[in-house]
Amino acid sequence: MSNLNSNIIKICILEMSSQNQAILEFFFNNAGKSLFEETSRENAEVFIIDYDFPGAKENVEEIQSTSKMPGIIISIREVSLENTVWIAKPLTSNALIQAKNQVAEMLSSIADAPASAETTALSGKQQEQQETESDDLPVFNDLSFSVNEDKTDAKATEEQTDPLVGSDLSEETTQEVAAIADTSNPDDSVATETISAETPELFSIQDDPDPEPALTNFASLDKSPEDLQQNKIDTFTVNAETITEKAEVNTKINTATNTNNADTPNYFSVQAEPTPAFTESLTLERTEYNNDLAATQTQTIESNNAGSSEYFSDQTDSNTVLGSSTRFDNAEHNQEHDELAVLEKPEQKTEAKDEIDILIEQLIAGGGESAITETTETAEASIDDSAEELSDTGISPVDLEKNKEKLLSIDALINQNGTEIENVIHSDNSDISKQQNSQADVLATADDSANNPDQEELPQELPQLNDNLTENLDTAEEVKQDFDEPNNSVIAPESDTAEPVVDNKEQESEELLESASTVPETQANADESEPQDEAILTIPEVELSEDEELQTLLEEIRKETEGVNSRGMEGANHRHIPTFAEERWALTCGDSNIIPSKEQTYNPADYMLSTLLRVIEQARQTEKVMRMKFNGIIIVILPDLKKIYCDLSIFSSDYAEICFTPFDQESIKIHNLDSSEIRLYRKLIVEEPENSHTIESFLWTSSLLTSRGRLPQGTNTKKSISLKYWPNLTRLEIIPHVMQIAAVFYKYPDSIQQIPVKLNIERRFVNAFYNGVLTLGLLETDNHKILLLSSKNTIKKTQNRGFFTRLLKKIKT
Amino acid sequence: MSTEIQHKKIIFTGPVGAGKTTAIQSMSDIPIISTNESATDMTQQRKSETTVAMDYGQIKVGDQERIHLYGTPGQERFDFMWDILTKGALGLILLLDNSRDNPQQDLRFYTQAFKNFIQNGDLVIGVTRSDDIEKPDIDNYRHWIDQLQIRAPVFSIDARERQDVSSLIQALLYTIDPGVTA
Repeated sequence: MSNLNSNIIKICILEMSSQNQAILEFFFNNAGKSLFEETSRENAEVFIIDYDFPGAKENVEEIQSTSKMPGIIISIREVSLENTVWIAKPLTSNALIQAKNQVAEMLSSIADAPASAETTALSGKQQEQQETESDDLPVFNDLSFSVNEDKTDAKATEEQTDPLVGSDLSEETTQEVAAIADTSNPDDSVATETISAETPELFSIQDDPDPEPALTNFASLDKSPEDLQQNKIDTFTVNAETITEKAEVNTKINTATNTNNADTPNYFSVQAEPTPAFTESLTLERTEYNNDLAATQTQTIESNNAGSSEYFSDQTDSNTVLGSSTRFDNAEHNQEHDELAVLEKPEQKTEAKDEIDILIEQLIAGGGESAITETTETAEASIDDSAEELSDTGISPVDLEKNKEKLLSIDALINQNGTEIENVIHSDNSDISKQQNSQADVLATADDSANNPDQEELPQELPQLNDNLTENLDTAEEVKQDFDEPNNSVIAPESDTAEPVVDNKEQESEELLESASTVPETQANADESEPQDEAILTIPEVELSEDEELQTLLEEIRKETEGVNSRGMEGANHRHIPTFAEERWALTCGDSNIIPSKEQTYNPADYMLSTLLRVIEQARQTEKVMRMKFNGIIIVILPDLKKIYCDLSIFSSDYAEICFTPFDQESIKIHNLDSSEIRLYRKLIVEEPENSHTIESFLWTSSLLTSRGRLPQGTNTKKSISLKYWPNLTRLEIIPHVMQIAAVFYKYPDSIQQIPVKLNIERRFVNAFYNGVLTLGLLETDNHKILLLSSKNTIKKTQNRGFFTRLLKKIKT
Repeated sequence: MSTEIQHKKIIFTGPVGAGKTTAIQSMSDIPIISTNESATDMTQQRKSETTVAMDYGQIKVGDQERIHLYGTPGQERFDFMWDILTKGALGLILLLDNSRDNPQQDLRFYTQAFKNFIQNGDLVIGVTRSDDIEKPDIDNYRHWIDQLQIRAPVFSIDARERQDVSSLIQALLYTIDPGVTA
């Protein structure tokens, strides 16, 4: 059954993160295809599993209890299990190759096990096989293949610094793979951000005789291992310096775009890969990870080339190997999906060299004169500039023209009907982001060039370039705001009754409570109002995943929260058409016109929250995964992960209503789950992050929605209370003044009645906070400690208060 | 009415690789000034470069007022810098890396090292990489600081996220003076 004769091991991928899955599949289909063959679990000889992935440990245990199948275990921490090989994260090709040898030995020993003593020595055939394998190895050992998930692992680092990587490269045997730096680790982001003369290793190549250890690579090999073995392929990386010196075709331009989100790095690299064998390839590669879904698109342009040997001299005497790279952080543009135009078709070999020459010249010029034209004052002109610059960097002007048309048509639409903007807002934002990024890329190219002392002609252009970029970004931002402004119109009913009535408070209150359902309806109506302007219909909408939409909404709430904090009570009391955040606060903190502590209390036992707390406690005590099912909603509590899966968004109005409506205890069904169900929900927690919550965040939001600014029955509002621990506010739904309230409760214990007065904030926010921390069990119960704290600390006005106020305003914006 | 020009500083400390430099970078209005050198010791297992003296960033408040952000070097052998940097600081932000072998030991070490400052000043703790590494969790940290008889807010943070780092600073400022209205 073993497939040792062919040296190819049949392997199945079990629990695995999307990112590692993509890496492995890429490896199995390219560099590792002579080592492994991916197959189903039933047909596999070996399994590979991400041990850090939920459910993986249980699966490994199950496999080991039922079979002797060897496995490769990927984990951050060392895992020593029988019949398994541990590979430290991040994945590297080298590690996979070594693992292959080890599992091959395991397979061999398993197969030979019945032969007892005879198996102590390898048969001649086996020896031959092993020799064959080891003969194969040096070639593959040279392949550098890794994506950083966590650089903290010592062994992983050792692997990166492994002198074997690249050391076996002879002048004639070289392999290359495109590098992709995963920035999931903060340290990585530092490294990426500080790309400069100090970090040449990021752009060094693997066939460097003295390879730099810090290289973080992702194999992107278009050539088969057989080709590599035949020494047919050399790949070169050329840096900005090389470009400046017009060393022509040996070009590799890495343009990394980091979106500040560790899970969704976008990375683009353009490579020209000339070979001494008169083969030059220009690879335009785009590898994009989005929400752990990795995809690699590679297009290769090959052409004849005879001028690649200069590269070696450049490399050997160069101490300033620089890549043209930029890391453009912009937290507001996480959703962007930039597009790089394909430069040429692969079959147009004869034209490719010219294209490359032009590309290089344009790249040089991209940081200089042609990159930036005169500063413009309008968004339209800014787009024109962007188009010019992008075309200089090789991006199709056609795409830009389309973008420009989109923006112009949107401008027209704003004038015609502001309410319809919502339909295209995501698409436009994305377009703006593209232009901003492209401009930033051009600037960064110039920045990197400026770091290179050899490029003296570029720095003088940098201030202007920088100014232009800043101005264009501002202009683009203004346009974006123009798009955003009509949001209120969208929220307000657009129909005949669209006139906002703000005088009648009762009606307003009703509208506020109903608004959550009104918004989607209005948006749906807006959607149905098509057909619209034809130009609008041509705009490709960038669809946001549920998680992305959720993040966007949460971000809105957060910003609005900070806005209210800044405005104080006056701002909060100034009634107007409710924003999304205000609508949400009506659900989480109650309506501002009601004084809950005087008029309204609630009995927690009547609500779903009490049942939820009971089931969570039961799950914790029994350490069993439990499921609540009621009204078609599923809530699964996974106590070991401290996670909750809920198939209904807790940010939906439906969930808010469930929490706020007295609960029929009879309607609920509670189950302990079996192993297959547990596995399913563990998987769902990973696959549906929008439905996955920490127990703390789930309880926090549920308690806010249940109380809606009311206090539990029997609460003594005059008793001093104190926080034992701060809630983990960076991971909880934010309500206005939450930080301030937490600080007072923590350091200056006082009564619920007094704190709103002292802080001059609305009572409903204090009540909501009290409910949240009460549910999470974060209140101090030791009266002695509370008294001690109360006597020690009183809020005093510090001399820094004015400065702190200004500082807080600054950092909240 | 003239405003007194204020210049205050906040210190970021914590073990190697906890994200101090990144956190300062997230908040600073100026390109941060770092004294990074290639790591030569055990640090290189975690990152290629490390801070040897300090990191410096700045938040500009208005035209003239500034909040200075200092990051201490992570390695213990640079601890002579710690006292120098913390002198006159508004508060201390301790970043702990959840992926390290023994974060509890790190917590103990740094709270002990800055004991004098913590006794009179305010401390906020940010736990980095807790989104990737689930254990220890925030509850563990809460109990650990309890054991050390320290009272401080503890947040999970991503040092690359400005919002998270901003929350640490906000918590610090509100802890110093909850009466601040902003």
